[in-house]
Amino acid sequence: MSSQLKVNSISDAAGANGNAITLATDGTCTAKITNNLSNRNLIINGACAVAQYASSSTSAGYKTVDRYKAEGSNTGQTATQSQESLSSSDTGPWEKGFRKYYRLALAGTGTANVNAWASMQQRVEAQNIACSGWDYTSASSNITLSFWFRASTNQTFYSYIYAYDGTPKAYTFSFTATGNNTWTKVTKTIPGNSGITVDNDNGAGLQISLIAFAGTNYTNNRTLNTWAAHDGNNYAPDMATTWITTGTPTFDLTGVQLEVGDHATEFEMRSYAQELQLCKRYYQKHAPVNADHMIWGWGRAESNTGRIGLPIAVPMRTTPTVYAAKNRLMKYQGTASDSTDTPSVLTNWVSESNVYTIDFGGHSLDHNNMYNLTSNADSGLTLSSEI
Amino acid sequence: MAKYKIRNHHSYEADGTTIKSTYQDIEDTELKLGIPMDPANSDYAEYLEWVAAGNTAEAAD
Repeated sequence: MSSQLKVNSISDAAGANGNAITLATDGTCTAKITNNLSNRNLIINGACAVAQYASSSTSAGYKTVDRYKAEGSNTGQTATQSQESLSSSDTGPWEKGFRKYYRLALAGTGTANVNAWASMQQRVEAQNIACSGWDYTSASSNITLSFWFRASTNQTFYSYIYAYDGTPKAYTFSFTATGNNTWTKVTKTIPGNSGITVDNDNGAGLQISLIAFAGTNYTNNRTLNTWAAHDGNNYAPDMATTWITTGTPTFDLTGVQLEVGDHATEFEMRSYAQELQLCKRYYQKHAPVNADHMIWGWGRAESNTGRIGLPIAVPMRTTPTVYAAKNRLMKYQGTASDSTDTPSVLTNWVSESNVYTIDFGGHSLDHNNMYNLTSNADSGLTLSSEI
Repeated sequence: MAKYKIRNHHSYEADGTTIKSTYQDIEDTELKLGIPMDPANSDYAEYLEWVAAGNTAEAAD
């Protein structure tokens, strides 16, 4: 004998957390499902698995884990950003399937200078926010940020969410760990605001920053948990100095997820291959292997410049910046020409193209003859269109 | 040497010496980066900020 349950909604026993399932009169429903959802994470490389740049760097900017930018300046110590591995002793993220994390570390006990700054951030492309389904101009429409973090010394830290377009606005919230060197999952739901503008283009939309330390040049009395005008002198309330002035400061991050809705779902695990492809919209490299002359592309001589068609993995966000410390052009009959001139990307770049045309100058070539482009010694070739 | 240099890049007629067309880009001479003059490129935006701060790039040859 069949039976049927006719209700308007289903909630937990206490009924204090809203409806888990809300049924509409047309036979459909909306549900707050927290697991096994796909294509929800607006953050790329949230699990910090991809590090095309390098595993470690003492430079600021995009240098190690793809899509993440670290800044550490005027801290009195050299700041190092790196990709690190988790182990089974990393209770929390390890059981959730995370195997890598992003670290910002100082070489020793730092100084809480007024102009000190230590942070990590990711910028999300505007069109990915504009088309996400978040009604960002509505205070009743939310996005939820979640991440795992660990700090050498616990204190109150701040996150600064920065909306670039129109009149820039920002939203600051605080977070803490459950203890020193303890992985803690942070979840924060953020409402929209009528003052937010997000263009439907390939520029920066939202910047998610986690501030390990900011000196008083950058802090004051910012009100938490509300959207207000961006203020470069007031990112957050004045910060405690515990983290920067204790031991060897480290600040670790993994499992970053930004999704539309008022609650955090389980982290959306994408395969390494999927994540790598997403990262390549912003950074690609053609690396030499064991110093051999690896073929990168083909083209012809434009006087003494090689005009080369370079195959790429995926079309990039915008015309990329190109770097190659050395390169070699090889004529069809075997004549080689080496150059250390900085290449240049032709400006007739096509956003959907999988081949970019790049000029490699400083050679001695036969005009209009065919050449292939190879690596030279230990030099790779990189293309960057980071935001 | 300035941090940035404006560069000319040419296309040539069949004789290999007569210039047919020219485009420009910016070279970061310290980092050896070839930066396209694309407003959406963040390195170019950084260059424009550098210019707005009163600096001048080395002129093209």
